[in-house]
Amino acid sequence: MMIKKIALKEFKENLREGRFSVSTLIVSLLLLMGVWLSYNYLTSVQQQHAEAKENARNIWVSQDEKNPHSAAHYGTYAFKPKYPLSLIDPGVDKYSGISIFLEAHKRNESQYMAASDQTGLARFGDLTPDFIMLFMIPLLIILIGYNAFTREKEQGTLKLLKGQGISLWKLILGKWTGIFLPVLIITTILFVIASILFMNVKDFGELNYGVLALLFLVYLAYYAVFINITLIVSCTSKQSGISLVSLLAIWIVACLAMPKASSNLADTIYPYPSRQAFAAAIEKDKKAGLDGHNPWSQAAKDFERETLEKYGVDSLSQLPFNFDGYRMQKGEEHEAQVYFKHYAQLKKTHQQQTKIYQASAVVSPFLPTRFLSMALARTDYGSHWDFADAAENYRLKLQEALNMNFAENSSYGDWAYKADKTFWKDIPDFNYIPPSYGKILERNWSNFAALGLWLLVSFGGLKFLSQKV
Amino acid sequence: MLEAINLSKNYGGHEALIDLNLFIAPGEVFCLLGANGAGKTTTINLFMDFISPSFGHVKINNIDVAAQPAETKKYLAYIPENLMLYPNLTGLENLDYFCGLGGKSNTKEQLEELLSGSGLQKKFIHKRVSSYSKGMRQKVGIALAKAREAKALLLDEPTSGLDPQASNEFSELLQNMKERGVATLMATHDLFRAKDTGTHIGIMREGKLEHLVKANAVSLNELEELYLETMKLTQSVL
Amino acid sequence: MKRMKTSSYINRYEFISLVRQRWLQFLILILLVLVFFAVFNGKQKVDQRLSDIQSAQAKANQKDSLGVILLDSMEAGYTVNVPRWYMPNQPHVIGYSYPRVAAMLPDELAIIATGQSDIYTHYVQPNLYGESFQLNYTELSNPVQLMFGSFDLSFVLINLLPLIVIAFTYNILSQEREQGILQVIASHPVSLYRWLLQKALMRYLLLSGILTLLLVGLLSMAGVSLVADFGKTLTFILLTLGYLLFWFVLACLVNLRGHSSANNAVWLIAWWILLVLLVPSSVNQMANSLYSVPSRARLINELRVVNAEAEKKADKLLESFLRDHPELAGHEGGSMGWKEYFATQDLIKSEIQPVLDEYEMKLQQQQAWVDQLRFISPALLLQSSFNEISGTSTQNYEDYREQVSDFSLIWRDYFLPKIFRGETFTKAMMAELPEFEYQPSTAHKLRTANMLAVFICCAVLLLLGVLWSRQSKTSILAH
Repeated sequence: MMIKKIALKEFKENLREGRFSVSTLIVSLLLLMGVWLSYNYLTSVQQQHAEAKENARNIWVSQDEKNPHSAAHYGTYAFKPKYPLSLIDPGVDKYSGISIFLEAHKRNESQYMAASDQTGLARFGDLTPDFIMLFMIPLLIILIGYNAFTREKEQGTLKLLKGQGISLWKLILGKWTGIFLPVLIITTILFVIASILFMNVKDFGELNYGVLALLFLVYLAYYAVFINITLIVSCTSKQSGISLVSLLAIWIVACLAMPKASSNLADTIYPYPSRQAFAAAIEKDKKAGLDGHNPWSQAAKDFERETLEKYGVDSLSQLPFNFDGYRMQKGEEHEAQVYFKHYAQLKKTHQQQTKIYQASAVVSPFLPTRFLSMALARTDYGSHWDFADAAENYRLKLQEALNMNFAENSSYGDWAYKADKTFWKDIPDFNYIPPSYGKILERNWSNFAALGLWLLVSFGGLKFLSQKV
Repeated sequence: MLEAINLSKNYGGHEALIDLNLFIAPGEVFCLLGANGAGKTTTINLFMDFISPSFGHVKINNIDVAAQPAETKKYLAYIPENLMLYPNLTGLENLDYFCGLGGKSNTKEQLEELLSGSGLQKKFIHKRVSSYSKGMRQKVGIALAKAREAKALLLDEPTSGLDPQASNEFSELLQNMKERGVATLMATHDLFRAKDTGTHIGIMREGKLEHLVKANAVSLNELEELYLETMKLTQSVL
Repeated sequence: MKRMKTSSYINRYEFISLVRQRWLQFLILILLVLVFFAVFNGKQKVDQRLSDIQSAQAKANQKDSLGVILLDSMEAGYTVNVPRWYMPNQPHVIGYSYPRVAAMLPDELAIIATGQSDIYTHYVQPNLYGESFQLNYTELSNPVQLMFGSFDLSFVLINLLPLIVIAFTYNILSQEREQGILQVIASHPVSLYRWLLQKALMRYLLLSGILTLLLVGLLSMAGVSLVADFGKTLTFILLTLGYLLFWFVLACLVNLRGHSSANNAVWLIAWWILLVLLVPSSVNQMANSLYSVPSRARLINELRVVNAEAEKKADKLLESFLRDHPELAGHEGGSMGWKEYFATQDLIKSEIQPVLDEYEMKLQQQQAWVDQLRFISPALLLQSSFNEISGTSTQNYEDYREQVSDFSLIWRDYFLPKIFRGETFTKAMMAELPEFEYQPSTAHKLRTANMLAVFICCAVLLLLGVLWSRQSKTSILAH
């Protein structure tokens, strides 16, 4: 009862202050604008992708009769799907490319990152809902709450309240609720708008409301941490000005400086290879093994002998299949292994970098929230890896189907063989099914733990303070 | 030296000061008495050019304050109710700084002399002001007035919150200033000090100067009676 | 004479106060840490870039000398243990397997701003096959890093420096009023505005001095030659100081409003959010919506359709191609396959070029629009200038791509006649291969204009402040 009274008083007092209403209004407007822009962008991109995906399939299916290996070189494209929650958090989508070219002998990186089609300003960030929610709302919390206690101290009303015998803890809880309330309202409105928008769009795929709710909770936990920090600082500062400046310093370190610093740290300790160096290393390993197009290499000769021995025949033309196609497939398999090895290394570097980000979460509650938000929206780097890996698996299956068609339907030396037009249709389309949310949660347990820890420690600090003062 | 002519001040309809006329000659101490909101501080602020008059003039050394504020300030020293100084500087440094702002430079010895002459204990002269009591800060204020050779002194309830001893010391310093020929305008609640140090006493009520008496023409009891009588009017109105 | 005296008193005691409040120590420490970390990160990135290029160059050199040895042996009549299709006496082998390193070496001041350097690659090796437009110029990087960006000098100076100024000056006047000292000051024959200006100037010069010393010192320690292009260095320092001035003037203006310290801080932070966070994002967002680059997803399929059609037409094409290049016809050594190949490439290029030009054009329109709007916020001005000074702006990479594209044509033109005529590649030719050298753009127009704009911004603000202060003389004393 008491807490409710204090909360209401705080809320009322805030409402009467221009600062609160103006900043809340601005943040809400920005948020609405962000959602609107994001929604427009997403629907248009979604449409383009659907079109492109269909076109890619059409182009593949409508190929003329040709040698399956020509088709393999001709290749096809895998387009990265967009997920509904990217409306709220587009994550690293801007920097991770939109499609992967699937061809013979090569694992390609995804290409055309949106950021390279924008000016250098793109690096300042976009007006998307996640920007407002991750950066602006914590600022709003600071603006509302920085003088929650310093004001009472400056007016002398804190002594009055203490004189009334009110426990400081109840006072803190009341003030906490008073700050949390407007933030809760803004966040709830945003999520309601978002889910209404989702319902109106068909092609977004299924929206998991449980995940939406989880994302909502993650943000609320993030805000709770900021409210706790704000109250702790306000409670321990002597003047409003000092409280405000300290809180802003905390905000800058947590939301601006730390992400950048940890990114530099990650890059220094576990650097990515340059694109050319990476490609050169792969090329070198590839050359050491079987090349499907090169029957004269040592590896090819060895393979030829082994195959002849295995089937107990004297010449390649006696084999029950076209050895060219078979060699092509074995070459592909060797190359796939080389790619697998190098990409596994790259992935390891990525995971080591991720560990640095996770460790930095100790200094910044922003980081775990940032990563959780992206992960739940399926727009994080992990989701991109999932897609790239799935595309590579599909590529290998595609190559296998093409090579085996070549091997089984023609005889040795018959490079003129052409597969029937209908064959292209028989090869299934690439339909990417992302990993379950269970996997994503599992992958992000440390982010959950870090956010939970922040929540616990900051609440603990507040409680401790209430007993000490 | 200090002169108010038909002086009035309105704050959005509220009349804080109505048609004040007074003249304070060198060596005179004019004490303004009155309840809170009677217009004492408004009068002082007008002399200081912190606010501009709605009507009438303020003159210092026969120079109009509104016309030449910087010029008139050369003759003024001001000690507010709670004189604040830079807490991170020592008393001597504060004095040096403010003298500098007034365009006067002094040697260290002169400054020390001024401070101890104003009753500040020697051991505090080189300590930071954050360790000073209110009375000690007032003494720095007096030292400042002396250093700047001010011809007029404006005091806004300078003795409120001082202990009796400090208050007494302050009166002595005022006496000293009076002897130097300084014209003083002091707003105060302290009838005893007003009678003791003042040459003239004015009683204000709701922005008007109701009574003007010479300090040596009334006894303390008479002054108290007059004061209470004037205040009663206010209460009956309320 | 007397005013001089007054100002020296203000300076002296302002300085003593700042030292005693530990502000000076704090400023030196925080700026040292920030600038050091930023310079360290910048240097790390530049070193990485250099070593990537150098190791590629070393590998290419190694390969070249191996090729020379092979050619030497072959010309001397020895048989070499190299597969037939890999023998370097065929021009197409050199053209394909012995590419040059077309590198974009970092600018002397590249440490200052990471800019676009983490998105794009700094060397490519264009070869005979494939067109330069098909080269992938994006760097292999963790997109999380691209999203967070780098903690570089540009970030420290554009984003953090204003906040340090705000923390340093948000209460330059209001604190004195809140402490009750302002009334004492006002009782002295000194103009409050001159007094405030003197204080602010003192603080500004102090911060400028510390910052300049740290920048010059730490950059020199990082091995950057500041005199190599002194004009650039000077522009960098002046821009930084101008930006600093802008925030000081803004802080003083906000203080002159006569509100509480906390209120001042809120206002200044609001300005910071607006100018440093919101305006840049909004300008970018608007540029994207106004001149949105056409869908890359569509481009992919368009490219494929054009590709397929061009291949179908390849045979017919060959005749018209040879009509354009009669010098190539009639030599027995050149195989038909080669001619078809390059003819097809030319066709694809000519068909796809309009599509690619559209992307280029939209991007340039975006840039032009952003360039126009950069005067809205000094943060935008600084970002564009810093990127330009560092040679890491979008335009720099655009220039680089264009130069590589030109170079790959030169490379091709060097080999094509030899291939078609069936010439043998000799050791002597190895030395006359075309080399690529990146020529940084020499346009300084943005930088100078930006610098002027920053100072004009400050001057306008100052003027506004003076005009305004005349109107409201008592507001700063009132509570």
